[in-house]
Order: sequence, then structure tokens, then C-alpha cells
Amino acid sequence: MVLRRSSSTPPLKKMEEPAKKKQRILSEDEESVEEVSEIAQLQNNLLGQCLCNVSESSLRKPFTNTGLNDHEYKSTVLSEWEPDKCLEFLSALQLLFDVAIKQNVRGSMCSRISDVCRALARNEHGIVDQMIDLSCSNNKFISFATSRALASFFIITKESIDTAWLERLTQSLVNTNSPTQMLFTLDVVKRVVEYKDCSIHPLEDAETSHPPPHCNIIDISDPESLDSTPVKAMCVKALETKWTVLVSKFDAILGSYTPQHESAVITFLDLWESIISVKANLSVIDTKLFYTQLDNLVVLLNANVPGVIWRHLLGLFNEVLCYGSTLALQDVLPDEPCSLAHLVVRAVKDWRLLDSLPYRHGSGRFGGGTGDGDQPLLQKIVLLVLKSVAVTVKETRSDSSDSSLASDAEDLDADMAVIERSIREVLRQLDQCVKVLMPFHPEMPLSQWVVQMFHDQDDYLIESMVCCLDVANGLFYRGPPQNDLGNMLSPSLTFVQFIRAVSHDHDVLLDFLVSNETCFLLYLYRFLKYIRRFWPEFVNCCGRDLDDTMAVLANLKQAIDRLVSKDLFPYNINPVLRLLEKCESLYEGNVDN
Amino acid sequence: MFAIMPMETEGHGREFGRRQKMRAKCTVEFVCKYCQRRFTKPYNLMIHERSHKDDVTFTCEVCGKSFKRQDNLKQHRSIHSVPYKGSNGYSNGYSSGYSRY
Repeated sequence: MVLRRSSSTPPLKKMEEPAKKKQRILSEDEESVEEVSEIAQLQNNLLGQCLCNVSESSLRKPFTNTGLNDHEYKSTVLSEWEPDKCLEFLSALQLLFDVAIKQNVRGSMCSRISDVCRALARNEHGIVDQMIDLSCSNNKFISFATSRALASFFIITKESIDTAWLERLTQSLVNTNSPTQMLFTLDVVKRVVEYKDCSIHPLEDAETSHPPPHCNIIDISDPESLDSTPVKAMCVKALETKWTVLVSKFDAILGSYTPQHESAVITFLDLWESIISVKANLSVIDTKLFYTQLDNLVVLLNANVPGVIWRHLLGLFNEVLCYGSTLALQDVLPDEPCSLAHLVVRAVKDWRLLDSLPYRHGSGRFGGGTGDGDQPLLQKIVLLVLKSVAVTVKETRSDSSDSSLASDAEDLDADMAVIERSIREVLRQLDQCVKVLMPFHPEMPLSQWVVQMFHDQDDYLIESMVCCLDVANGLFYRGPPQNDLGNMLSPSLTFVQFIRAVSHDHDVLLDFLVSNETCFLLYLYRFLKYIRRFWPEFVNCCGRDLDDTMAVLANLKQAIDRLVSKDLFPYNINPVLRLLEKCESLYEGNVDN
Repeated sequence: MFAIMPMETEGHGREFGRRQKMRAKCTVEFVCKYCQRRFTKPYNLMIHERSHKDDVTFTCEVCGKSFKRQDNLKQHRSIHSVPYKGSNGYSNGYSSGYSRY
């Protein structure tokens, strides 16, 4: 590409002060001015969304020793370039791929940009292999820039990528003991897996990623060209062949954890979480292997592992137990999440997992933590325990209520009695742990403090409410009991607390329903069914709050009705509307009485 | 809106070990078009499939511009000379891009 001899400024300084670059170099000698103008020309062309004015010889110059200025290039091998020059080249590649991705999404590409991407996809001048070679670089900046550029290259190249490149990358991950090299491959795969096809920000002006009028534009009408699913699947497939070895490797690293591995371990756990994430839109059949080998990690949750690693491990477990989005909606639960849930329940009940929570270690200032305590960590473990309990109860109910497996209602009662004892103990320990760490009233039941615990995390809050509701429904199938467990899990108490937390504003509920960032649709749907079934208990729990609570539901119903009448509601909300109507009539009957 | 794909379970193989008998009771399953997970109720599948989507948007009724967040839309509305007094502006927001799955 047009990049030539680098200036003498150290790379770190240049990265810190990019805004001053042009001004500083302009004051240097004439050759530097010419050099900058060439770099600026390429960058400006890329920023202008078109490379039609850049000659092919100019683009290939660094990789051909035929030009008059050969002496200016020490080598055609990237790893032998000066760090500054290498970084500039990698940045230009990154920009090229990012522009190409955006134009591809918009459906019209500069033909020259498309040609250059195709030439790189053919590995002309061995550039892709050279980028993979840079995974061994000791320079963290070069390693980082290369991993970013390589990920973008895979996304734009899609299924045309050579599987040998992925094999080289994943094999290096197995072979190396260098945390930097591990991080390189993990980062590349993670960026590809996490890529969103509609990643252009809604506030970004659509015009900025269109090629200019004079550009030789090619139209991309193939809708498949927008889909990154195949390349994600290729990356996951390449990783799959090494997965068992890799998990063992990282188990060993975590078993004798040292801070130098922090970034690699975190990226590994994040990648794992991304692969199994519902949002990744990957087939559960293709990713089945990634739901195994989790049990060893639960054992690794101990005092030797710092809070930051705990958080990422808990994040992974919470994603495996995708309760609100998936498991709560399935009649038959897969074995892997059930196995993880059982282990967590056992770890809390029998191995006192909650006692080893590193809540007071670390600053906890990142991610919303305050003071000395790591509140995000506490939120993650509370959610994990509630999900584990919900999965355990749901699985037992599914098995026991199946007449082909269990003979009659007595078996169901016996099974549920055993489960109830375990669950009671787990929830008791959770309640005790939370009240030691948080300033909640000693008498406040879990059903109420759960709303306060997640006051700043909508998605956790709603999923926790679904878990509590399902556990209550599962355990109290014969009706809400009048005991401590009934109070601890009372769905009505939770709902009243929740309505207070949103200041009785039905618009907040409507936003939750329309958005898919939480599982509020599932929660509301199930909660309305619950109160329809146990109306007197709901009235009793609401007490003086009944009128205010029902007013919120009535306003919500009216708001939904308005949107539905204008065909503005984004999905079929009728089942919820019918339940709202039913509850309204129960309330009116209640008022009449 | 949501493509529901009923699938016969008979002969589908042993996917979840000991609960195969229970699975055999279900005659029709609804399979997620994104991740191929199975559900026995279409409304449950619809709720699940919403979790896969990442493009629920709020659309300006005046100029059609879309926003990920409602507060951004509210802020944007102020640039139009006539204050908007209509509906909440919710859009289904499911771009045609999703049809590719």
C-alpha cells in the first residue's frame, strides 16, 4: 500500500497523539511532507469511500521490489518492518475492511475497494499469512492492530476464507504458552463471533458510507452477502476441533492463576460466552460441544481466583442458563444446563460457595460497583443461584409430571418435597449472604429485596423475577403456602415492589414490553396467569396498594390497545391483552364485592 | 411475522437422554429459525425468537429515522418544527435483513 518509510517518532507517542500528527509532520522536511500526503491521500480516499483514484502500483508498492525507491523498503515481510510503519499499514487495512463492510451492508461498494479486498482474500503477496505470523509479535500494539484487522478481513471475506488460516490460528492457540499469542487468536475469533450484521449505528448518517457520485460503484443485491453467520460458523468449527484441549489448558491456567494470564483468560471466557449466547444466532446443534466441560469451572470458583475472573466465569454460567430467553420456555430442558444448575445448587448448599465470594476484594469501581464491595459480582451470583434453582425445579416438575416416567401424583409430591427442602436451604443461604453484604432490612423477604438488588440492571431484574415466579409456580402448584418459603418467593410481593420501583409509571412497563432487552413479555404473561389463578392471594398481598397497582395495569392495557389499533405493536400481544382484561374484570368484581 | 416451523419428533433421535419418553409424547414441535432450539408452544417460540433480534427500533413518525432508544427519538423529535403529539412511535423495526435466516 502507499505507506512508506516511517518517521522517527516512537509508536506509543503517535498512538497517544494522533490529532497532532499532521501538523507536526508538515513542519518536517519535504520528503516527509510528500510521505504524509501519500498516506493522507489513501486515508482520505478510504474515508471518502472510494479508491478509484489510487493506482494499483501504488497499492502494491510495499510488496514489490521493482520500484525506483526500493531502497526505502527494507523488506517485503511485514514482521520485519519498523513498528511504526507496520502499525500504519495495519491501520490502513483495518480502515479498508471496515469501509468495505459498511458499504457491503449498504448494498453498494466502490469496485476498487471490492477488488483490493478480493486480492487480499486471494492472499496476494501472502499478506494474510504474514498477518497471522504477526501473532508471534512481541509488540502488543502490532498484535492488537493485526487481530482487529484480521477479524474485519474475515468478516468481509465471509465463507471465502481459507480454512487453513483458521487451522493455523487455532493450532497456535493450542501450541503457545505466550499469553499475548493466545490473546491474538482469541481476540480474532471473538470479534468475528460477536459481529452484528446490522452494526451501523442508527445515529450514523447513511450517506457517510456511500461511495461518491464519480465512483465506479457495484451494486450488491444478494441478501446472503450481508449474512455473517457462515463465517462465524467456520470460526466456531475451527475452534471446536481444539476445544477439549483448550478448555483443559485454561482449566490448568486457572488452577494456578497468575495475573499475567488475566487478559487471555478473560478473553477466553468472553469468547466462550459469546459462542453460546442466544444473541450470537448460532445453531445449538453446531455449538453443543461448548455446553460441556463446565463442571470443572464451578470448582475453580474459589478464593485463589480474583473477582474479575469470578465475574467472567459467572457471566459464562449465566449465559449457559439462558433462563428468561430460552429454558423457561422449553418443556424439555437440555441436560447440560440442568447439570450446571444442579452443581451450583450443590455448591451453594453443601460447599458454601457464597462464603468464598470475593465481594470485598478489588475496587469494584468498574461496571457499576461502589465503595469496597463488588456489587456487579454480587448481582451475577444472585442471578446465577436464582436461575439454578429455577432450572432445578423446572426439570423436576417436567420429569415428575410426565405420566410415562412417574406413576402418579404421590410421586410428584414426594419429588417436590425433596426439592423443596434443598431449595429452601439454598435460598436461606442466599438471603443470609445478601443481607450481610447489602443494607437490606433483616426482615425483608427475598421476593422484595430482589427488586432492590437489581435496581440498576433491568435485564437481571426481570430475569430474576421470572425465576422467582417459576420457582413459586413449580413448588406451590397446590397454591401459595402460608409459611416462610411462601413469603420468600411470593410473586405478588415482588410485583408490588416492582411497580413501586418504576414509580407506578405504565410507560416503563410498555417500554419493557416493546423492547427485547429484557424478558418482560414472558414475565408479565406468566404473572398475569398467576394472579388470574390465585386472585385472592394477590389482593391480600397488595393490601392498600391494590388500587394503585391495578391502575398501572389498566393504563398499560389502554396504551397497548392504542398501539394495536394503529398496528404499531411489533408482535402479537393479544394473549397478554386477554389476561389484562381478565384481571381487570376480576378486580372490578372484587371492587363490587 | 415469525416463521413457525412445525417438525415431527418421531424418529428424530435421542437428543436429551432420559427424557426421550416425554419428548415422544409431543407430536409437533416448533423450531427456532435462528438456533434450532425446540418449543412445544408457538407463543413460547415467538417469545424466544424475540431474544435473537437485535434491532428493535423506535421510528420517527415525521422523517422515518430509526433509533435504538426511545429517549434518543424523543430528543430527535425536537428538530422538527411541529411538536409531535401522536402515538408512541413504536415500530416493529424488524428489518428485512432478518429474512435471510
